[in-house]
Amino acid sequence: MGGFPNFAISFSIISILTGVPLLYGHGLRAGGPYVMTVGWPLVTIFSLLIAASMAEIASAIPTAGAMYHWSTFLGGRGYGWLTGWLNLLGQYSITCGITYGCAEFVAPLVGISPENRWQILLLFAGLLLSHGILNHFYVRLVSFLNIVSAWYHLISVTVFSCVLLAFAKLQHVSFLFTTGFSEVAFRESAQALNAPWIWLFCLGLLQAQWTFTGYDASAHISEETKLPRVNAPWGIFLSVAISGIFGYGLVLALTLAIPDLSAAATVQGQSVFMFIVEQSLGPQMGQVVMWGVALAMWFCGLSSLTANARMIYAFSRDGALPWQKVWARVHPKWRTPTAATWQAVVVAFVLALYSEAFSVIISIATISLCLAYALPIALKMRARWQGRWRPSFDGPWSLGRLGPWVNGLAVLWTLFISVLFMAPPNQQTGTTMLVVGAALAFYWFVLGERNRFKGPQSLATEEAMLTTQAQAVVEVR
Amino acid sequence: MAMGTWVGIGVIFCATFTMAALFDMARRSVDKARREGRLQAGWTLRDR
Repeated sequence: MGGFPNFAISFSIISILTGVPLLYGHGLRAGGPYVMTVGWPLVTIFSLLIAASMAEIASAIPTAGAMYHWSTFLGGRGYGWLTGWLNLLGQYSITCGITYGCAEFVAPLVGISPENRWQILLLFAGLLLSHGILNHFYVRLVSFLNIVSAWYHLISVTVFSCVLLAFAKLQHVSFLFTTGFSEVAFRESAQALNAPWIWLFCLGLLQAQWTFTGYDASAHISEETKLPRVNAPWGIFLSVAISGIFGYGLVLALTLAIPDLSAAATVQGQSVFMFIVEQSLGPQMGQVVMWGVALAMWFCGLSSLTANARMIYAFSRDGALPWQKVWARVHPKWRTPTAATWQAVVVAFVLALYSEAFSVIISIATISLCLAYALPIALKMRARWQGRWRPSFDGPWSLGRLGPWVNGLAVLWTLFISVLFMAPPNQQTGTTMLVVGAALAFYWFVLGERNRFKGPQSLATEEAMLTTQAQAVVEVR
Repeated sequence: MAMGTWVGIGVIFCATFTMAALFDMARRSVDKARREGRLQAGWTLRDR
């Protein structure tokens, strides 16, 4: 696998056409168009710092276990185990969030009322099933679809943004800096939460922050990538940077095309994104765009399930999950981790049954994944501070002397958003994270996992790593 | 212009600058490693 396929899988999981349409209303209702115009680049800055810090470690330690292997090497097996579980929890929730969001988005297009939760759950189960079947039987097709998905996202976002700018009646540029969707409605929402506008603005950042997750996939497939110490870090960094640029173009075009701000923010029975597109492009053109976006969400869900199943497989192979032998089995005929795939499907479905609020599922996904990203970064800072990490350990993709500053800011941002997305009105996220934390502590300290878990056993064997690198060097020369 | 607009323009400028600076730093380090023949250098299991 070369550099582009490595970039493509992360870019497909970030999927601008999933994050922006599903959470556009959340951002707009929280702080008005200002959340789109300023919130998106603000989150892009810090996501780039996290991505660059991860890219540096991926260049130094290009193993398929990625974050939980990095944490093990940098801090010990306990940190590795914790990072692995956070990563796994994040992947379950993100698989659930993407596909459940897709079901909610498609529901009005096929005549299902958004209020009918059971029919949406049925649609959600059908979509999950389609992803499960493809991941079970057709792994080569899934790999091909990842490449198609990357091109599809780049082309369709460009075309869609241009169509909006060309055919919609646009607002004046100053509209982009509007800080509330209407005086009355803003006051109501501020009073309901008993919070100032800046707090609502921060809550609206969830839209962009959720979009910028899943780019660790480039690190997970580093052992299958040529010249992994260069291509895997570029895959991580560029998938965030390019999503930031294209996503910003899309949110700005969409915001400028809002026909009536108050009506858009208070719309009932359909998504805000759908309302803006149908009002500005007409019902027929709007339907075409909706189905195009739904296809992108389906692609994103497919890639997410692939990454989720690989994580379950790798973590079980290292003995970290109960009934590990079942999940670590590769089907002899289809050459895929079939049990791990169906486990991911079932857990994603159960998670949707548990949480009634879409924002809770995506808050759990965002917090868990960001913590799993930040933990090895913090451990690397500690190792450098203690003199255990020498400059010679850095790979070719390095930030040099600025590295520690970038790492520090990335960790601080992660702590900030973790607290932010557990605060009201996302208390269910906070409660869930506390329960999960307590359960993990009980499993590690009381049930004896501390003595049983030996750390990664398959450490991307040195021979395999060196062979891949040697092949890559020969090809470069 | 209102203060919020200036803050917004500042954030957009910072995002552009951060992206360009990080990209440039990484590109330089990879180019340097390529010139020095260190593309496969980095942490190994022996460094554990």
